[in-house]
Amino acid sequence: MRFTYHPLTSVVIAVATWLSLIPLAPLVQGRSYLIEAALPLIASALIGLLLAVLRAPRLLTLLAQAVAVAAILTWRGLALSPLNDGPWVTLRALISEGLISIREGVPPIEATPGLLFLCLVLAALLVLVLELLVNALEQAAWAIAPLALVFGLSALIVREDLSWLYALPVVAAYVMVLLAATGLPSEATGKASNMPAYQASRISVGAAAGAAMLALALFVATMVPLGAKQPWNQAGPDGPIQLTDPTVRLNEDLRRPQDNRILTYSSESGEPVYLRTVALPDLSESGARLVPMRLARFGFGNAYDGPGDEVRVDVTMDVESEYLPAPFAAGEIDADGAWSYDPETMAVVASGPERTQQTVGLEYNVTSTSPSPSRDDILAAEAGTGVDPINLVVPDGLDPAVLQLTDSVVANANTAGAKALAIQSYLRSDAFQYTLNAPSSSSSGAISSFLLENNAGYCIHFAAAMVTMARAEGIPSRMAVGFTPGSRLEDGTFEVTAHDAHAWPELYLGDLGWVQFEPTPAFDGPPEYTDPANQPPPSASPSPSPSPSPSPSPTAGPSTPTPSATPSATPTDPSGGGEGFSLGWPFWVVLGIIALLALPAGLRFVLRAWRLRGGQEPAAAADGAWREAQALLRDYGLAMPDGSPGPASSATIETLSSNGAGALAAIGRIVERSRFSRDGSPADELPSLIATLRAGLAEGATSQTKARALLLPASLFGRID
Amino acid sequence: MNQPATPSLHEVSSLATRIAQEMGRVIEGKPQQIRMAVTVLLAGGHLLIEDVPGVGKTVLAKALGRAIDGEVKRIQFTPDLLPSDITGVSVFNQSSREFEFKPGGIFAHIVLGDEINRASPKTQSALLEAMAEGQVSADGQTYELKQPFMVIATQNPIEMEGTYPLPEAQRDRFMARITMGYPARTSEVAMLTSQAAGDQVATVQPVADADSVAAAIEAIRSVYVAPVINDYIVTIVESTRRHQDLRLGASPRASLHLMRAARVEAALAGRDYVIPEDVRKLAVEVLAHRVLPTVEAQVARRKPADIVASIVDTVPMPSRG
Repeated sequence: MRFTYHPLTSVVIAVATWLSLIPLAPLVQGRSYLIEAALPLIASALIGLLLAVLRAPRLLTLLAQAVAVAAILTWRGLALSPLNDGPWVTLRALISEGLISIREGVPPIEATPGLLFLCLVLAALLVLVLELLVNALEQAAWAIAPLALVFGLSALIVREDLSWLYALPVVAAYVMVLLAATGLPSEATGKASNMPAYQASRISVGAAAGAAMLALALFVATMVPLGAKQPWNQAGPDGPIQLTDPTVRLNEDLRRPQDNRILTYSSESGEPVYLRTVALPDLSESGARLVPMRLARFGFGNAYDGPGDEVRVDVTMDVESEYLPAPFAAGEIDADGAWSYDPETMAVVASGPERTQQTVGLEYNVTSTSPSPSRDDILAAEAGTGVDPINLVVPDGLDPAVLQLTDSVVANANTAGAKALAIQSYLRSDAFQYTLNAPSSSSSGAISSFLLENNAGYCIHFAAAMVTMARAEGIPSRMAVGFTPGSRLEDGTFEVTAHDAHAWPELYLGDLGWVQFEPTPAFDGPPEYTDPANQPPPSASPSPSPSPSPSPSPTAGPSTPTPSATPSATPTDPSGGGEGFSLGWPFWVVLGIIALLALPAGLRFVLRAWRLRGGQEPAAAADGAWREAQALLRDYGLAMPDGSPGPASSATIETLSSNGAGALAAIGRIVERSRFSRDGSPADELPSLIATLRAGLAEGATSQTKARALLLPASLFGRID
Repeated sequence: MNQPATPSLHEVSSLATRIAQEMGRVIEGKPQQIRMAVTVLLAGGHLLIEDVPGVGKTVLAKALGRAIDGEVKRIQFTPDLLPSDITGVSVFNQSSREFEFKPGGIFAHIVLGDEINRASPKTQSALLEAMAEGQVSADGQTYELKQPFMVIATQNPIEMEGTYPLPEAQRDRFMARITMGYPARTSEVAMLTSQAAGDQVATVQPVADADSVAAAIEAIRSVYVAPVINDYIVTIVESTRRHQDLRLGASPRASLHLMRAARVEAALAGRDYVIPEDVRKLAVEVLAHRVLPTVEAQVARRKPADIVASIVDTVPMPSRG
């Protein structure tokens, strides 16, 4: 006997899922997510209701719900996204936009399309998991896990204690699911469901479970200081953090008579690495400067998701610092203290109450992904787009001759990458001298004289010059600040001193993201593509850097971790556009759905052909035909009683039309004779009798039953013997 | 004995139907008991009818006897009945000056042993030996019994007073035991109505003669029993020997009886082969009177018939020939 479940169970599950999403409210601005999330839930509920009424197998119902929910997700995703690059690309961009919103935003996060889409995905996953638990696996008690998930997320993320009122919808949802799963009145629940005592005990158990959960929620909320559990929430006040100009310190460090140790580090690979602190996107008449940062408290990492080699370093800081030096591009940082993260400049900023003091004696480790584009990648790259326009501003007050010089330097280069390499080669050429005996300014005047007149300077001038020339050629660029790898000590660690302070340009190139260059000739170990004359086929280098991050523009006040503003929502397309896919994707989707729908019918056809295949022994052929007859009856919703073919078939024929009944009786006789009589029985007629039986069954059936027998043959979902 | 040519199974079936119809005229609402009686007759076995007094045991037996045109004798078992009353006795013939054998009640085609458990065990065993062997030995002479030969014994349930319960070994010789049960209300009313016109059993007409019944018994042997069916029978019978509620299971003779009865069942259904349902249908009647429940089962009021029925339900029917 097939277990039947109540059609309303799916509706209850959908409502419960929706209720369980309410505690998301403190995390997301607005309530539009609740409306969006209702769409997949409604679809799931309707399909569950319909298929339960049709008595479809439960796994099939779940499959249909999954397909429908996926379709709704695709539809809503494409509708929400401003892009129109083919579904795959669009959805990926939408998801990454949502993830960025979460990573960078401070709750309540603005309901961007990406975030809404993630809420939709969450609702869809929750409802499918609930359907699986309650309807497919009949483990309704475990529904608490998915139902409490959102509440748990909120409780962990929201800084202040989450109001206990938010636990109420979850409790209500759980009790609803429990009550629905233990017996909406139906034939499956049997007589017991009619007894008042049974109903009373059900409801009291449900109420007790709900009360216990609520008490637990209140107790846990008061006993566990959830707010303190979040590493990024240990920061002090929300007020702006004043960051000093890193170039000042750079100049001081380089000119310091005593060479103080800044830090020591050891890398897992034993290779030296550049350690980077911050980037200066603003190059103006007066020099390179920071721009206001939008610091995120959590969701650190994943700013770079391109290919590269993993680099892991353990660092011990000796001095105080506003930034945490880390190899490009840091993915994971394990450091005590309170830190905030600026995804734009990839700077990790001390945001705790102790500020810079917290780096003194600090030991931390960083796992970075060191990108390794080839020289050909660089040569082929075009200027990247989609970054903050400030990275393109050519500083005022520049001598026009600089532009002419730049044009002549890049005269033979066609691509942005080739131009960058040409500029770098030019600056590394013998025409320029490295000297600390130069003005400590990176102002446009200083750059003009560096390039046109004295041709001597130190890292900051080389970097600023390259940034300026790149911008003149329309390549987004900025100045990164940090440290060269330092010197190797005897124990294999590296010591970085004040004199290792360094600045270098980062150029934003097409598919590669931010790529580091090294125009300063005095330094050993620059990126290997820096000198194309010597290094035709470059291999991996410590610095270049695709960074696919769709870059939101900072909007808030100076150096302030603020509630997030709208990301400019121009997700880049990491895969370079959906080639060909956009042409006919609805066709393929429809084709896929049709194939999915036709799958049971196809399987059924194959099974029938196999059972009735020719060349079998008569006894085997009779057995096959008998199984096929049983399967046919089951497809049409007719139960064949257990027993030998003769009695079983004659018990069934009353419900059939005359043709079908005659065929079935004949089949039963032949099969029975083949099994039990002395001489057996020829099986030649069986295939035609089966065909007659099929026709007879179809003749007497409603069109709904016929459709079900064709598309969802019940015999596929049970054993036929 | 001059037997006619072996009849076809179809003729056997119609013979059985005729007998059953004729009996059904006077026995209201008991078609299953009638069919069982005919089955046992055609299987060459003996029938035990067990029930409280007055429910029609004897009427059934008499109706069967009358429906067959053969010699029918009735032995009323009483505590003072002697074995020689059943088997017969040699008396000295004054005129021929020789001992002459006077056959007892057993020499008939159909013998009605009424209230068999009222006779002493010694007398009972005389009957039962004759049933098993189909012959009677008296004074060094062996006398063949008639063919067909069927004993229909009735008995009151053994709890009733003044009875000698049949020993297990002797009950094993009956192919089947049936109980009559009280008639349905409508049947009882109909019975009163028809009895008002006189004894109805007397109106039963013979519809078959002894020779054709013997030939039908012979014809039944052509019904094929597939090896899987034999296996099924043995599995059921073996299960009674291992069942926790039974301290005595059914004997190999029970297997044989079950197979023979199933053959008749198949023939009556118009088949020349036995199917598992034939076996299933007869198992309780053929097996239940041969098994003895344990004390625990008796205390728990689990009846042998229910235990056998549960065994039949649990043994899977063979699905392949």
